[in-house]
Amino acid sequence: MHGKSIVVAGAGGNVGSHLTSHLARMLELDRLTLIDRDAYEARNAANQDIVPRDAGRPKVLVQARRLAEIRPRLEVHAIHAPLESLPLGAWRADLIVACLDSRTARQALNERAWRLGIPWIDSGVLGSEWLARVNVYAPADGAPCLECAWSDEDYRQLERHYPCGGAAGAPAPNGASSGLGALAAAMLALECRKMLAGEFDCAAVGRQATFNARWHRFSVTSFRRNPRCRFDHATWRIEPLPCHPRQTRLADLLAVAETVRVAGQRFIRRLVCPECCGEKRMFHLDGSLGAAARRCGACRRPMAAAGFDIVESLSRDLPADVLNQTLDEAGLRIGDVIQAGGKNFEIVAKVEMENRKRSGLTTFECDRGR
Amino acid sequence: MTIPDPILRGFLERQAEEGQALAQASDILTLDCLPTGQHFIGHYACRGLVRENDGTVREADAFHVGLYFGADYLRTVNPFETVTLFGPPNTYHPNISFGAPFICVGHIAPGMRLVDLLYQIYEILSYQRLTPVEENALNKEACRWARANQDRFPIDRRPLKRRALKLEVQRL
Repeated sequence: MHGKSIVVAGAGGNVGSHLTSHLARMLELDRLTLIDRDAYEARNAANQDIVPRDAGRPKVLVQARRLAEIRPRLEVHAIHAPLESLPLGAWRADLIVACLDSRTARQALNERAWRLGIPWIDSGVLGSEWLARVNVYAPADGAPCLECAWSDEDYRQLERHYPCGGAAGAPAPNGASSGLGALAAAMLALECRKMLAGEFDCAAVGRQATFNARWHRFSVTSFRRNPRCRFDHATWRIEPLPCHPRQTRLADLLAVAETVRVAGQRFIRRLVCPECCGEKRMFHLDGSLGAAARRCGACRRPMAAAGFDIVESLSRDLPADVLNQTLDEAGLRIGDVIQAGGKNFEIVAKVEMENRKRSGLTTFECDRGR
Repeated sequence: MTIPDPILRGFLERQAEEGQALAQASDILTLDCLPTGQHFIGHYACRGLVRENDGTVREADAFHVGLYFGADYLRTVNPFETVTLFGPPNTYHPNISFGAPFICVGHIAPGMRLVDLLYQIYEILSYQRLTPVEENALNKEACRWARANQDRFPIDRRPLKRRALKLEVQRL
């Protein structure tokens, strides 16, 4: 069994930093994608698998360098970005693994895995109780998702930044020790092995396996699909959309359908600085707008978009200068999934498409209408 | 309304009905429901504060606020995106960016009803509610000013929803 791939979200944290070396030693794995938005701080050396000189470096780069030493032939992709900003196609793999400390990030990951129909494993630790856990979700008819177990209170607790609400909604450090993180990582690595081998009956699919390290207690909880779950549980059939993002215009997409959406993304028309009121006008995909582009030109503080400056779907009544933008200018990337006319299309480079055609995959030409 | 998700579509239709019912029962609020189904504009004929260019803080009697419910509103929400100040741009309040369209109404849970937001916005515009801590305020100057002028608040004491008048007539 070879040629398997895994995407790890939160690859550098308390669990993720311990996990990556286990994954590198799994010979069935050929490709590993590491995603983490953060850089190491000196204090992380206390409970994460790093050395003090790693402080200040992006977590994914530190881990990728380590993996290259453990197994030089493993193909490692390191993505230093927030997971919400990535195109849906970036998550394609045999398995997605979450080592996240944020409820919001887990929710975003759950949605992405479900859309692509890829099984994913969540993990977590609770330092005060010495708890380590893994949950395995496999998108299928009637299968539970992360949100199936959520109550209204869980939704209320989603982390968001409330400038006037006192403490921001960022997740608080949970004080988990290095050992607890390593324990969750080991449980995670073992579930990965089962899932990659197709041993779904003994993996914790639809279940949560929790180990209480203080009292040596192990428990397994089963979950069911919640008919009142707020998530729609749709898994999409996605066809390739071969195009040149620097040549194809937004108008070309609208030649195929009256309205076009980009999965999990919106367009921003204007950013405003809450401090000095400076503004930037644009028409750009939210997720691919980098931190520098979001910074106010005058005071260098982060800018934000008001609700009425957000466009959820492209339509033919947009101004001509917007419709004449190329996909690249509007921030669309290889891997973004476009929803048009009731179908889903993933933007792929034309060169890659030639290879897919040879392998007999169906294609859809976005410049058909030109 | 071109919202593919039937659950969200149903939610938004209920919000529009409830919002219109509140507006009809209010002497202060009128509500525009825009054709997208996701956008609303609340017009508040209430007393609030604006700051003039010369620094004078004075009362104003009309404020306009936009509300936007994104495609994922039942699952996730960004408060900055949900509520937008349309005017006046010189509205003066600790929870409102001066000159920018942002209002911080505090915690907005996913799926929070339109009428609850309309009430929260009114409480802010009329100074029934404000952020007292300068560090957390969107307008720090207004926060300092508000601390020194607490005896003036609320600026408007009327309830958003008209109360039924109960009269007992006694025959003499």
